[in-house]
Amino acid sequence: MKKNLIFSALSIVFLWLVWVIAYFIVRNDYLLPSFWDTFRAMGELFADASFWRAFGNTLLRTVIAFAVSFVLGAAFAALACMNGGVRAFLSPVVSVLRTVPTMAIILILLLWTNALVAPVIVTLLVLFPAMYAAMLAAADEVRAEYGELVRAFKVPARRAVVKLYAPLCAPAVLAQSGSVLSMGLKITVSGEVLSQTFRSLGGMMQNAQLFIEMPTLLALTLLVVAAGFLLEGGCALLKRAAVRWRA
Amino acid sequence: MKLFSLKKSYGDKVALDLSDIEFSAGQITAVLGESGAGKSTLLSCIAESIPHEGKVEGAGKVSYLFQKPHLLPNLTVEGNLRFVLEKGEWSRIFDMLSRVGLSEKACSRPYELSGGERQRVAIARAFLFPHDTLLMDEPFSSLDLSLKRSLMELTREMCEEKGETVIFVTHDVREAVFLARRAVVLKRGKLIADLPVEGERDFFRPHPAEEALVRALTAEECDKFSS
Repeated sequence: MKKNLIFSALSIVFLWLVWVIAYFIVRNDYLLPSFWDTFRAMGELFADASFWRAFGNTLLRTVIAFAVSFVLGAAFAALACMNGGVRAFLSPVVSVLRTVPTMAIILILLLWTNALVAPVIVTLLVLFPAMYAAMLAAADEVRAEYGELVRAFKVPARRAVVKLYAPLCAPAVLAQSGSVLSMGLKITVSGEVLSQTFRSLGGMMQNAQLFIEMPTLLALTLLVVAAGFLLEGGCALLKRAAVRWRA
Repeated sequence: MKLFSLKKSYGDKVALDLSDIEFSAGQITAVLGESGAGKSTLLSCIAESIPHEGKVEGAGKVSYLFQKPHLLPNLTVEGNLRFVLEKGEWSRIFDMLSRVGLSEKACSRPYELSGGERQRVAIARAFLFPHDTLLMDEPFSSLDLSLKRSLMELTREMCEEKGETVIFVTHDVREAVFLARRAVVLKRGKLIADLPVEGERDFFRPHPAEEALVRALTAEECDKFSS
């Protein structure tokens, strides 16, 4: 565990060194700003209230899209687990959602909705297949192990869901939720950039690019990465708190 | 319990094809056979968990003892027993736990129990669940000898106390003659032997019925032991 932490820290140091070396090779602040300039820009962002408002809006969009995809994924996975017809019906729908280009969806959604809503919907459409697949796989695994027990003792459906399926699916679903949530943040920011959403991290990135403020752009990028890490860490903590038993 | 012309096929393959057969209440009947003989299919037909031809009469409510304990890892021992019971039946849990020697483990989770203790919980669950017929699908096959013997003795005592119909599927002749009063042998879905298992039984000494059962199990032809 301790050894792994050291390797993870070494990896971050390695990336930082690559940046420093690349900076000295490129020697062009407009193409690649220095670490210190970026660090300074990050400090300025922290002191700026509009950054926090934008950060909150982007995070809220991500969480809304994630929550809706979680609920829809759970509902459809439950239906698909119980009924082979629903599973077959949803299979091509999920495949289409998985393969359709994200940018194409954003452009279409911008025609149908507005810049505030489009990033939420696009994130939801990208996250739903991932949540659905994770939940269906977890439910299938539980059913393969305990389905015989439930059938033999004629356990009522409500009790089976509350005492068996929900708790035993939780570890796999929560483990997947971290990476899905982090991916959701990435998609939301992409959507905001393309939609030029006002008071959002994506909108701020778009402005920084427009005014060639490379340190700010890079600082915003690093902050999105850090937020993604925090979301993944939060899910891991939630999993640890929620799952207190061992298989 | 009576079975009338029970038949089950998977595509072209006949998994079970029995003529009429009766199982007495209060008697443990062992069903022997090699893999693919139709033993588990027979249990599924009795439990009506798969569609089949023919009729099962008088099975009533069925309880199950599986090969694996199938305990929910998120629930305690008591929680696992509650999982299959209605609220009104919870009061019997502690009596049953002390019967199987697990009253101290009511609050333990399955990962804190040994393999034998887990199977004891499964036995408690099978007997607690209100039933007329108990189906056992090789529940002792993965246990070591001494544990197997003690759990089989416990199961036999409890079966005899309750006087219910018990169908015990196994591929182990020694287990069959130790636990059952009657043994039937299935081969390729057909009943090829139906023998009483009488007299004293000792787990560590061969029983006279074993020879006939081994002959039936190893017979090449399906009709060799037909009555």
